[in-house]
Amino acid sequence: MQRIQESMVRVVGLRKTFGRRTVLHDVNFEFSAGKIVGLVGPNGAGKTTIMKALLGLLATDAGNIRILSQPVSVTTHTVVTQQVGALIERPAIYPFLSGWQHLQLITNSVVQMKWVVQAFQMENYIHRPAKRYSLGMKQKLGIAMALVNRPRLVILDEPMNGLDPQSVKRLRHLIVQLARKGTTFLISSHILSELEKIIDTVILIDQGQVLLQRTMAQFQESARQSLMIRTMENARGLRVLLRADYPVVQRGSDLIVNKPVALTPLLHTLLDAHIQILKVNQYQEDLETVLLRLLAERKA
Amino acid sequence: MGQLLQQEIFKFRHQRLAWLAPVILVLLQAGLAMTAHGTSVSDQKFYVSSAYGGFQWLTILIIVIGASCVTMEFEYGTIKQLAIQVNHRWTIFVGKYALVLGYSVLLHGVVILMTLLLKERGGRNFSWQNIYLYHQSLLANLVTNAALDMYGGVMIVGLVFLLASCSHNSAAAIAIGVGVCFVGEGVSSLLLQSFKSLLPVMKWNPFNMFFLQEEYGNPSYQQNVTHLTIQQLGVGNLVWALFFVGVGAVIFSRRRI
Repeated sequence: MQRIQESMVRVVGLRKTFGRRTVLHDVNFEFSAGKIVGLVGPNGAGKTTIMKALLGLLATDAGNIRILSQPVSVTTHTVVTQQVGALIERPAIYPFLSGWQHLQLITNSVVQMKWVVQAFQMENYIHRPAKRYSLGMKQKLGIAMALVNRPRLVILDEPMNGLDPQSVKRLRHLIVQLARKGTTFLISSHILSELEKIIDTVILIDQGQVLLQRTMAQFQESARQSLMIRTMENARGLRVLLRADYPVVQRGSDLIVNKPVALTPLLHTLLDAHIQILKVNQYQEDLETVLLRLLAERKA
Repeated sequence: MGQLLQQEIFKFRHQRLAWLAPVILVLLQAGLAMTAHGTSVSDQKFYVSSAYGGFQWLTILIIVIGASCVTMEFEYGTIKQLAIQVNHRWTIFVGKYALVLGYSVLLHGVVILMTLLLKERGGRNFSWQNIYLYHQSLLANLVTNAALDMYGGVMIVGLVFLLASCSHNSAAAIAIGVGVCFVGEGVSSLLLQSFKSLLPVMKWNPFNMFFLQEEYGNPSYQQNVTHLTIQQLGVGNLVWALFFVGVGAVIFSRRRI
């Protein structure tokens, strides 16, 4: 029997204007529980505005938001108070409280507090006043505050800001672990290379509109692939491959095949012509390149 | 609401000012008590009934605490975290208001205690049972003054909260709060003297309500300054307090975060 996946977030026809400026135009998306969703787009695209609307922090002009099938608005967001943890823009930190005291503000469970402190390796400074924290320490505390109650949905706005590579790796690991246990994540980040390592689904936003929502598998299918070949005789190799109808161009000292092709027959073609092959590399566009290409294509 | 209030108390008791305020008050009262030591018995009774200036210092401290209590959430960006936790943002505002009023009650207790101690050390030539204003004992005058000051604080804190809700930083909110509360009395007197034809309406202006406690200590204020009885000032204070808290809560709730 097929298990029906529970809808975690459903956004329909969301519109928001600030004065005369429309920042969100008819935004629609949906994702199910247990997913790690990346919300990406250029600066000012509307990512934070969407996140604020999801948390009931911002009144919208039109549209409908539901989390776990319950409505969310500025005045009605019981589901957010009970099931959602968030880090929006910058960590919400009182300089006169210690990290531990910040966690105490959110939960009474010492077990949960100890778990999150250990997960982010904050033991050495958690009892120090937060005014003495570095940017990275504050960021970790902000994420810890979003996670400490083990909410069903976690919304993280640029969580990697200010984190060192080790902490980024630890955060990635923790997010994947929690997602496996059923926690859903909506994450916005400019560090797409980090994001693509963990997300299941990507939602691309530009100028307040959702350009696309795809799973990473769909993304990888649409990502352009290319083959780079270096031979002892590139000029002759180019002629041989063109004669065999391969879409090949010469770039510097390499021959580039811009479409996915079967490798063995291509190599046979070169070897049959007695051309010595020095190097073969296969490239696939990463998330960043695909998104930048899509944005450029849209502008064009 | 209960959890919100608990959070506010938790945050507040970890702020330095929460512990520093009673110390400042005690020191200032002690300072004034020393200068009052050589004055006449009548003056000394006045100082005792006004808690050696403690009530006025307390008002300044409550303005500072109230203003920073509201604006800090916007300054630190913590308002988002708070707003996520509640369905109605005005409950945060009301929670903070209740906290500051509660703390004001505590500080009034400290001021009364300190007055009792200072009087025992410096004012042994007259008794607590001596009749002072309104044919009441000195002690009754002190307690009534404290009660009126606390009651007046309900409106002052409401006004400070309203101003702080419109402000982007605590320093500005504190400065405006102190300014309005202390210059307000002068402005009110000036208005009432300048526009005598509008007196029936103008006497209900909110700044006139600041005279509540002073009118108790100086009954002549009713004729010369406020043109309102103590009871009328009491009602005015309450009505304006409700208005300030209501408007403040609406502004606080609608502020972009």
